Amino acid sequence: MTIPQIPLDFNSIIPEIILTSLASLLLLLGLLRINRSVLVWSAVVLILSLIPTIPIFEGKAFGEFFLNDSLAVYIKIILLLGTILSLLLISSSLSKGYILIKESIALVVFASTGMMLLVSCRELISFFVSLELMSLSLYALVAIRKYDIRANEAAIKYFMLGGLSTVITLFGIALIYGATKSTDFIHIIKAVNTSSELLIGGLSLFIVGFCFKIALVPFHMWAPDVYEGAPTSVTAFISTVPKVAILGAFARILIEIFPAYHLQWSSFLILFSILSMAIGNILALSQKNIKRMLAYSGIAHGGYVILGLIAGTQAGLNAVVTYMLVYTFMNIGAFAVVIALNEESIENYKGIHKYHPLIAFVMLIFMFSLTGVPPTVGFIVKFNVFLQAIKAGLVWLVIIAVLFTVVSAYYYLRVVMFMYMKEPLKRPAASLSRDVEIVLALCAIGSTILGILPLFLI
Amino acid sequence: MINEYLLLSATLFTIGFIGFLIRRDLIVMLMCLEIMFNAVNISFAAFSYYGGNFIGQVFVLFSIALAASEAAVGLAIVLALVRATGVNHSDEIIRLRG
Repeated sequence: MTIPQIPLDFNSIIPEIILTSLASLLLLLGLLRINRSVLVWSAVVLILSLIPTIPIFEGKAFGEFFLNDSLAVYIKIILLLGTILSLLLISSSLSKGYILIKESIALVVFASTGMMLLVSCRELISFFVSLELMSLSLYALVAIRKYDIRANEAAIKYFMLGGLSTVITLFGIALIYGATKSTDFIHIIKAVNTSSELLIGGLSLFIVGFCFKIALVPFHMWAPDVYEGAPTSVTAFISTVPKVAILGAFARILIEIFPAYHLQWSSFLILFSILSMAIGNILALSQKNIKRMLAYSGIAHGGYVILGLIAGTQAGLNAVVTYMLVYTFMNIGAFAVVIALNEESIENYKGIHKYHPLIAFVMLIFMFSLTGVPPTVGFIVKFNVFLQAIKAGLVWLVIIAVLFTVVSAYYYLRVVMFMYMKEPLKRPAASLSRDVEIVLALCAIGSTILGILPLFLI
Repeated sequence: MINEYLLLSATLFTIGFIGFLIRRDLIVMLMCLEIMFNAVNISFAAFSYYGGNFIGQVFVLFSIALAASEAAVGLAIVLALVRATGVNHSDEIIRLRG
């Protein structure tokens, strides 16, 4: 037993160190009498200035245990963009006087630190620790309104099922460790070729944990309740950004570490993908609450995006990541509209365009983009994911996916139809704060410009 | 020998899992989560001892710390729920349905 000499090179982990210090600092500054929006804006500016510097930190740290390659850099930029948009939304609900305390800002930054580490780590111990850093911050974030009964109920459901999925993932990791005698990915890749039942068992538990975290269908029960009960700005965060990180991290592990078991894990995922598309889309049809509808739509989108993972190629992995970039804009944008109108029932969206033509138009962009109608960016990324699945020879699966996309048009376009073609029930009391306006503008630009000029994506 | 340890670990995990599914008291559900965490720790230690390296034992230390922090967050959420509603059974949490 020899202890390997690990060179101490911290360079490529600097963005994470900066974010951790920022989160701790925010926690301390929260104790002082500092204006909340000052706190949020300083965090936003710092993270924004971090984004262009991330490609500089490409490289390895701690030997091979932390890898910041170009794909990880790309995912981290998406994560930070999503974090900024969510911080602005949370700041708007702070200024509206809801009971959202200052710690929520620090929790968001802690969660995104965990996600960034999750994407880069090449070792199962740090993988598990960063997964927990992310999850624990998110549980606390959902429960941040202490006296709101619905939020507490959402938090307890999120915590119980999240905790169960964590334990299942941990058991999977234990079996993988038992089969390969190592936790760092380089040794695991070498050991994977000697096949064993232990490894297959560990891998399947690992996949179950993954499906819990991104709410694919047999493991989706928590998602609608949590999304409905949590404060809307928090829902915008937990329904989007963690999914990017988890999909990125797990997809990399499955495609890069376990290509030898592609047949086994892809057959699991094909089943979950079909179930997610079917149940997500069909249950979304009957929803009356727009946050629940978006939750089921998120489940269905999980089913679509998994297609790129099932393809099992590097191009499929890239398609997954690009899909998540666009999903971040579309989904946070849709939740920003819900925050701006302060209205959860779909019935009350009738005739919005008479009073708020701009909000209605922006919502139209997001709904078309979520459906995947051509001029918007949702079409291009969906096309790209389907293309990768076809290249892998899964034509029948893509046909099912396209059919369910048609089903999804009903519930997305019903919102648009209500907004533009029905008489208003009452005058909606929209209160647009500056922060929400910025988020709406950024998300709308992100969902259209990238659709007209898709060169950035492919 | 390793098989006995793994059997113990799997049994404990199953007990915890079944308890988690059938018990309705939130505190007992938290305890079942802890049982499952410790079951996994046993298998880590066993793999580490019989596999001839110490990574598994290091993992156990991390896992114990994370189980503790998870219990802290969980108890805080349960406490907030009980203070807000006076309910601590999972089948009485039925406000969000649809």
